[in-house]
Amino acid sequence: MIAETAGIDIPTQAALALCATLFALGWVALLLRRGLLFVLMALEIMLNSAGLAFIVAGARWQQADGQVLYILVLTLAAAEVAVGLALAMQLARHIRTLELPALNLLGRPNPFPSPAGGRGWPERPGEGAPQARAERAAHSGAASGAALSPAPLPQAGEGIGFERS
Amino acid sequence: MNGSPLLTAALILGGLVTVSALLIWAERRLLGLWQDRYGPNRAGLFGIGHVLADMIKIFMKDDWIPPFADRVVFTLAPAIVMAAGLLAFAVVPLSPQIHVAADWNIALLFFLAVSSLAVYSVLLGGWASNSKYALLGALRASAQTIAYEVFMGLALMGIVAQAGTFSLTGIVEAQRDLWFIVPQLLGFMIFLVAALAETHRAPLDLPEAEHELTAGFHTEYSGMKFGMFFVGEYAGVALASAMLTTLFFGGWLAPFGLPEAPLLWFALKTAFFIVCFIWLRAALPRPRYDQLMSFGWKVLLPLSLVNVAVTGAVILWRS
Amino acid sequence: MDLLFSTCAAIAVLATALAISRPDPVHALLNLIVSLLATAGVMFSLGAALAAALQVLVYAGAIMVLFVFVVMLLNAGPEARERERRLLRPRYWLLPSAMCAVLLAQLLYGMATPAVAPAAGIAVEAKAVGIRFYGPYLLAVELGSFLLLAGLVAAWRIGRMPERTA
Repeated sequence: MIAETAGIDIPTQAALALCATLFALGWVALLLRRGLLFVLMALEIMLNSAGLAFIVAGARWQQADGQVLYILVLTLAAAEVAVGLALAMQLARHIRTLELPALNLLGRPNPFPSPAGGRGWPERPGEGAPQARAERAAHSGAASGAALSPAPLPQAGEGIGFERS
Repeated sequence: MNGSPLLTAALILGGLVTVSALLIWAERRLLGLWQDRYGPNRAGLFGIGHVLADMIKIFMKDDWIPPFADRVVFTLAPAIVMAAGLLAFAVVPLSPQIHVAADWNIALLFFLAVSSLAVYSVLLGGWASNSKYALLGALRASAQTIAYEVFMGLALMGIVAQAGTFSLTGIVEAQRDLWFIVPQLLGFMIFLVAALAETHRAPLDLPEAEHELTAGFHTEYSGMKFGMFFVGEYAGVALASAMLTTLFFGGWLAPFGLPEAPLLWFALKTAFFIVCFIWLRAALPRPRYDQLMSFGWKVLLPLSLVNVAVTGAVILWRS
Repeated sequence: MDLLFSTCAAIAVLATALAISRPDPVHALLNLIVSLLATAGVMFSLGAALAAALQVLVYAGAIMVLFVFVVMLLNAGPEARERERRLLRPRYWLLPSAMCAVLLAQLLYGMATPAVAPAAGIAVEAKAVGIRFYGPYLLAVELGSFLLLAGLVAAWRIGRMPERTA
């Protein structure tokens, strides 16, 4: 009844064009967006379009291999998302932002200490940093050349300032 | 299929919505019975007029959207639960003739796929409400649903292996000699718990546990939007009962060599499971949320894997 | 052209375009889910019913739920949304879009050149897929299970990392 609707009149080119369009849209998002979640979404779009291309090829040659490879792509996507989202959670916990440019500051302790009593993320990752570092340096007593010297590691219980709620 | 498929679909949908509305009354009466009180018994025969009265009331209520809510998503959420519940019924065979697509070769997968979409209503409803109780309920619901969905599917794979098909008509036909409840007892128990968790019914209604979360994800809902969540929940109960009947208790087949009456047998078996769902609610207390999650991942998931492995081994050994 | 295919394809492209241009992550995810469901429709119209069901079940029903879950858990405030909105001004997206348009044009040109026969008219059954899986692709299945196990362990470890490890 339903199984006969197997796309006898769908041109392969049209289906592949759809894959290419979705892939290109995913790529635009990958280039454009800077939030980690949006980047992960863009990767999902691209993976999905690749999987769809496998299906199209499988339908073209009437082979099951297309769907087999699609399922493998699916497992890849599942594993990727699990790890990616766990990393996103850690990013939010440690540097309190999901903006990827903020990761330029890898290795320095928390460049964006939270202002007292708020979840205020910095206006722009690049702008808030030096001032924050200066504040931290002044706070911990290393007054001279505060803005230039690498920030000292915070003592235990100080500096990270991310409230678990 | 007799008549046009559209007519069948319309009849099934109409019947389902009516049954879901009646279930609200049935549940209140039965809970009253089991708790030694009357329940709604004023309007009409046995109080059945309460259904009508409740519906009129809920339709007349002010359709209020909180000013802090995300309007579009807030409106969309209750529609999703209704749509998913009704859509899944497309693959339930009420009798050999009366169904929409039960003989489809991926009918069982379709059921799992559509019922997995129902979680979005809870998730989005809770998020769009923009209130902490609703959000907590939504977070609980999503974790619970993902966890229990996994082995809801796995528990059914034993049946698929035995019947050799995903088509629900085929699965019912495969039970002509022996209902699957006998060889797949473990699968049945796992599926029952998973179905309880999927429909957010007590005792596994942690997403809307009223003593901790006011009303959980639908705290901010009122009027017909709340009514849709409500009816959707009962449609989910009816769906779960119908699937239990179809998968484990021979669907429309007559038990013990009694005369064949497909639709009647199906309705009776389904009604039995619906009453069981209500009975469970009356009888069992709620577990803690962490108990629910660890029971799912650490007990039910290994058990369902064992079920799949043993079923496969037996099938291979016999052939 | 097949009605189901063209409708679903149009919805998929539209929803994806909306998904990548929403400043609010939840709205973007909603559009992405619609796009994935439409892609499932495309797969179904191509006769790959098993893949379509898995697309809804795994992609839309599990992976995206996880996504929404994390987005809600992190719940970025209005200022994060504002920052994303600022990124969506034309002077930011014009250049990437142009580059992608070039890529798309190349892909389409490459596809259009050889004349390909239309897609086959026979649906590929779930059984055939399963048999392929446990025959020639057994090694791939094992590798896939390794991958999933690694993903599970990594997510477990990373997700439970205490606030400061160094």
